[in-house]
Amino acid sequence: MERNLTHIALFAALIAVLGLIPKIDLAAGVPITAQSLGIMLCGTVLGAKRGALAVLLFLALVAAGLPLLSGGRGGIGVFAGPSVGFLIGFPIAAFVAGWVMERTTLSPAVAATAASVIGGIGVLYVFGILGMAVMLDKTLPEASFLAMAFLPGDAVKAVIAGLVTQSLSRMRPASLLSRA
Amino acid sequence: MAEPSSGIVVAAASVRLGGSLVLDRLNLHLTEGRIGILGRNGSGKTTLLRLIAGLIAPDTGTVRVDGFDPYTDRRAALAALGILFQNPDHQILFPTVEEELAFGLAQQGVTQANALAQAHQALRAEGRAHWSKVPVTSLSQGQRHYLCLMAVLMMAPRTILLDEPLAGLDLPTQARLARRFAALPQRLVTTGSCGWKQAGSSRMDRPTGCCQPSLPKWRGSGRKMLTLTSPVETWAHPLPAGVKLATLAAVTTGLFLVSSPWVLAGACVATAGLYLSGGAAFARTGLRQLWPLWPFVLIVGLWHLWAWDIAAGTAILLRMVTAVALANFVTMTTRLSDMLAVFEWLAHPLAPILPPRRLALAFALVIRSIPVMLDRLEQIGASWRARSPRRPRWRVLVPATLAALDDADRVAEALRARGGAG
Repeated sequence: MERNLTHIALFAALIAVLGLIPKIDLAAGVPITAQSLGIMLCGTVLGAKRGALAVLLFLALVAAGLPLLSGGRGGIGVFAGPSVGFLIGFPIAAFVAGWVMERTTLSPAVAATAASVIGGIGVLYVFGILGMAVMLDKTLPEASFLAMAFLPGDAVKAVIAGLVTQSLSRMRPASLLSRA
Repeated sequence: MAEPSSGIVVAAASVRLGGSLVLDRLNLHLTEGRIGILGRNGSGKTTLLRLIAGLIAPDTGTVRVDGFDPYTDRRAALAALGILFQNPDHQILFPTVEEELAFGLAQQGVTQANALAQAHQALRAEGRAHWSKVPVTSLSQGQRHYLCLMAVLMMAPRTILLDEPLAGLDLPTQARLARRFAALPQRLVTTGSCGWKQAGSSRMDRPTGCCQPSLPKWRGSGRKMLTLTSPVETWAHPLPAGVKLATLAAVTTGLFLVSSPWVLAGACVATAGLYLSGGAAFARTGLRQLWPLWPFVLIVGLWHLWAWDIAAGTAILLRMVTAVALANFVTMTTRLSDMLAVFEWLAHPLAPILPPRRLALAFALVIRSIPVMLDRLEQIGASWRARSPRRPRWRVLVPATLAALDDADRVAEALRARGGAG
């Protein structure tokens, strides 16, 4: 019981911290923010239920007025803005990523990359595009076109989520609660 | 007297951490082969070591190692200085022994294959060839310490900085490591709190009792959790949070039902008036918080200009800005604790599966953990910079995630020890 609660809380803190630290470099020297990677890791490491709850807890604290979204954004205002769909999609993305992770027997690297692509891109973009379509009064194809700007970065992050998950499983197999 | 450009020269260096002065105009010129930095807990020994290693910059004054600035000239620093952190778990970045050993070499320009070969060779030379593929977490504390030392030695620095190298190790491990240190040809700078022997060498050329033990015993990281609540008290601050949120929900729904640019412009002007009622400073902060919307304003603006659909474009932009500004207004005038209390109240119907006490505990745990984890990530970043001239790459996310998992286990034990999560 306590372990479930602390894992959820500590991963909520991890998502926050990944949005606060300076950007990290990719191999080519391109800087990325690691926050959406944190969402993917919640699913691939903690599994569906705990991962989604960690993201929900993080979002509750953002809504309550902590500037924890990358770039120092926060408050209820972010839920009234055009990217609200992505925020609503975050916990569902973590849930789906965790669900995929729990239900495959593929190697952690492949499973986690696939889970991150399906949850962290596929599912997340459905919500993000719907949100932009409503908030900016655009048709779905128009909103999809706008969302494509984020696709290359998120594809790279899905691969990194897979690599991080694989390293964790090698370093300490028991740490992947999604596979426990 | 040695050349002023040789050795470690600290000139009038001061370091502030979290508002308190840790090192105050310190002057040092160290040229000996065995140097001990002695002082009590919290006297700034580790800070001095990090300063010499170039992991932090002095607030005033200068630091030179063999003539260069270790903070700005990272390439020279890596060739000259190695640092062994007090806690090996703060130093190790990689899952397996061979990767950990190869990392520093690869950062110095050795190819990955070559670096791995050298790592295997070093392990064989130490009689530990069987370690190469072993996960670092399966090593004991003393073995992890040894691994960190090997990783530093492989980069062949001229000076090695040792932070309390024997603390927390059992006596046989201490003796083995101390013998190893004594045989090293490098200059060693060691911190210690209780004398020479502890400082890792039977021989000490220069004890340096440099650090005033006059600092406050307890020194936090100085991080403060900032909230978006405005410190400028407005008339809206005392209103109940629940009332503000319900009004916001109603007004925002209204905004989305209206499509006339004139009505939306009126709402926008009224919102501006709301902000101005809190005074100029309050309104300025509010305006700054709208800044993240600019990419959307630009894209939607250009889109509708191109389509020559000005009325619709204006309505979309006015609605977006007004809705976000109103929500920000509620955030700026409501304290974090009041907002969380509303969330806990809203979660009441879930009480059978989510007791309100547990939700409150979860909020508190996250708020408490964020600064702790930021410190931890900074430490991981320091371990990276101590061996690489480049900015941290994705690999640092592995120890960061592991730190979150470890902390979760430790906090869970602490909770259980005090009666559980209720």
